[in-house]
Amino acid sequence: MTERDFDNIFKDKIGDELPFDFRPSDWLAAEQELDKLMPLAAPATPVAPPSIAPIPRLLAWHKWAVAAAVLLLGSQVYLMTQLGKVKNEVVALHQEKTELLSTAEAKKIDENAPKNMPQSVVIQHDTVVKTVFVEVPQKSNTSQQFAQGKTSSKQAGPKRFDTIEGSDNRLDERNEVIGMSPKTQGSTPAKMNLATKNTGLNAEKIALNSVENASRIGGQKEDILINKNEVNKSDLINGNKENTDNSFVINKENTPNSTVIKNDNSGNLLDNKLINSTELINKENTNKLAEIKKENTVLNTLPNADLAIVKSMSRAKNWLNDETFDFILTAKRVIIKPTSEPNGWEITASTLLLATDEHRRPRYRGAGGDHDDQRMSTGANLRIGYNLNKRLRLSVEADIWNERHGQDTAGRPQILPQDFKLTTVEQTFTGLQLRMGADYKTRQVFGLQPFVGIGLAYQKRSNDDFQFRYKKDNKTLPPIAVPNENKFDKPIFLSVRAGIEGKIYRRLNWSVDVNAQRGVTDRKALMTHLGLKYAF
Amino acid sequence: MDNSTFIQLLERCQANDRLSQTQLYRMYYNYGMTVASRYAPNRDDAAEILNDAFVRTMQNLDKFNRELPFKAWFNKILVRCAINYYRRYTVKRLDSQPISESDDQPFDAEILSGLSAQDILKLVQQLPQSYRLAFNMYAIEGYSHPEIAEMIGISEGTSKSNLFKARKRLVEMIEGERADEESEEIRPLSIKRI
Repeated sequence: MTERDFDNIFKDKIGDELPFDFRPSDWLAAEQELDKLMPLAAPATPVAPPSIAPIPRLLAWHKWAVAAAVLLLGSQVYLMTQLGKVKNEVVALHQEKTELLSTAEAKKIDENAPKNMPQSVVIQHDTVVKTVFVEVPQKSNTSQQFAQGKTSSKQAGPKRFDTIEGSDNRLDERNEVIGMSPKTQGSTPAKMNLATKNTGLNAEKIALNSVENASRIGGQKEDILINKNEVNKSDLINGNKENTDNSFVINKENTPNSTVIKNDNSGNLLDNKLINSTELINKENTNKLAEIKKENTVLNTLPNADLAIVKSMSRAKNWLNDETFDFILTAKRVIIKPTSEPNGWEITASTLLLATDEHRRPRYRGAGGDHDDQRMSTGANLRIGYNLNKRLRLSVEADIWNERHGQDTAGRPQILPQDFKLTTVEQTFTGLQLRMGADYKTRQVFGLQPFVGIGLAYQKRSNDDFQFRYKKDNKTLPPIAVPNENKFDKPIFLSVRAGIEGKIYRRLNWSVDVNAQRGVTDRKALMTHLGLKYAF
Repeated sequence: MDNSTFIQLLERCQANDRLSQTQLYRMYYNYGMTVASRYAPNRDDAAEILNDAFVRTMQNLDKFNRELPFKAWFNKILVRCAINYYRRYTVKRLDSQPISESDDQPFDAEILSGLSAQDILKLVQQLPQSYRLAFNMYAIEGYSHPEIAEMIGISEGTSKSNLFKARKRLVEMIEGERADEESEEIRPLSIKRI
C-alpha cells in the first residue's frame, strides 16, 4: 500500500462533508463576532424635543448675564455721575476757598496752588482784631454821599479802606471791613486787615451812619478806638491833639445817641453828652466786637487748617484736572477672530465697565525736561461676543496693567520704550483664563504708537460648555447645547501680538492689533483687536 | 438553491443582513465543521475555526468572484483560519531534520477501509498539531509541500517530515487499535485458556 493510497483512503473517508449537529451556540459566537466587526447600522435617532434639558439652564444663564450687565452698567453710570459731581464740587470749593483765603504765607505754603488763585483777601492770622479804622471823608459832600448810601467802598476811593502796602484787595460788596489805624493800636501790628463774609460789622455803614451826626472838627482824619476795653475817653476827646479838626465816627445805625465829639484843641471836654454817648457807642460796638472776636477766633485757627485743606484740594484738583487720576469708560475691544470652525469668525465687543487710572509719582526727570512716570490701572470688563456660528460668548474680565509714560522736551506725551506689563484675569462662565505678558512700545512714529508684545496664558475650562448654537441646516430647531470644541486639555498657550495705537483727540484713543495664539499642542487662534478708549 | 438565489443571498449577506448571514452559516455549517474538525483537536476548537472563517468570509464578500464556486473559496478561508489557529495555539515543535519518505510501510488497506469516517476523523484529531496540519493540507486538501511550506511558514523538508510522521503515527494508532481489539478478543480466550 503506497502512501498515496493511504492518503486517498483518508480523503475518501473524511474529505467530504460530514454530518454535524447544528449548535446554536456556535452561531451566537459567530454573531457576536459579527456584531463587533460588522455592527448593524444604528436606527435613526429621534430628533431631540425642543425642551431638552440644557436649554432652560442656558436661558437662565442669559437672564443672569443680562441682569448682571445692566446692573453693572447702571452702577457705572451712577458712579461716573457722582464722580463728576464730586469733581465739580471740589473744584468749586477750591475756587471759593482760594477767594477767601490768601496770604503771602499761604502762597508760600501752598506751592501747588494754582497760579491764578485770587489774592483779594488778606488774613491776619495771629491777632484778634479789636479796632475799627474808619477814614472820614474830608469833604462834607462826600460824607453826605456816604450817609445816603450812594457810594461804595470802591467809589470812596482806594484810600478809604486801603490796606497797608497797597495790596490789591478787592473788597467786594459783601465783604465787611474792620480796620484800625496803627496810631491808636499801639502794639497792634501796623498792617492789619480782616475780611470775612459774615463779620457782623458793617464798617461802611458805621461810617455812613455816623457821618449823619458828624461835624467836621479839624478837616483831617482821625482814628477812633471803639474797643470797649481800650476806649480812652481822652483819646476819644483828644483823638488828635495836633489836629484842630479831629473827628470820629461812632457807629450805631440810627443810634440817637450818636454824636460828634468836637475838640477845641484845648483838651477839655466840650460836651458831657459826648462821654455818655461814647459809652453807649462803645457798648453797642462791644457786641459787634464780640462777634468779630468770635469770627477771628475761627479765622485764627485757619493757618494750620489752611495748609492741609489747600494741599488736599490742590492734590484733588491735580488728580481731577491734571489727569493724575482718571476714571475710564471704554469700549475696550472689538475682536474679530477667525476660529477653526467652518465659519469660524467671531466678533467680540468689550466694555470696560470701570477702571481707575492713577498717575503715579514721577520716577525720573532727566535733563532737558524729559521725564517719565508710572501709571497703574485696574478695571473690570464685561465682554460680550457673537460669532458667525451663532454662538454667544459672555465673559467677565479684570485687568491690571502698569505702564510708563513720559513727555518729550516739547511736552508731547509719549510712551517710553520701557516695560509695559499686562496682567489679565478673565473669568468666563465656564472657565478661568490668566494671562501675563509684556509689550514693548517704541517711540511714536507720525504720532502713532507701535507696539509688540508676547504673552503666556493659562486657560481652564470645564467640558460642559455653556455655548450653544443653532443647527444650520434646520433653523427651526431651538438652540441646542453642543459639546465644547475647545476642551483646553492643553491649557497653556503662547500669544504674540503687534499693533498700533493713536489718539483721536485728547482723551479718546484707538488701537488696532493682531494677536496670534498658539497652544502647546494644537490650539491656534488669530485675533484682531480694534480698540477704543475714552478716559473721563 | 440555484445560483441566482445564492448570489442574492450573498448580496444580502454583504449588506450585513444578519438573517441572511444566519442562513448562509447554516448552509455551510456541516462543511465548515468538517474541514475545521480535521484541523482542530475537538469540536469546540473546530467551531472556533469555523466562526473565524465565516466572519472573514462576510467581511470579504465583496472580493468574492460570483462566477467561482463559493465552497472552494470558503474552503481556502477555512484552511487559512486553521493555519492561524495552529499558529495561535500551538507551540511549534518542528523537526528540522527532513525525513525521507521513500520508505514504504507495509500496511493492510483493508483495516483502514473498515474504519468509519468518524473513527478516521478521531484518529486525525489525535495527531499532533503540526502533523495534523501537514497531513490535512497534503493528503486531504491536495496542497504541495512548497505551498504548505509557504502558507505555514516552514520549510519544505519540515512539511515532508511532518507528513511522514503523521502517516507513521496514524499507522501506529490504527495498528494499536487493531492490537487492542485483538487482545480484547484474545484475552477472554486466554482467560478461557486459563
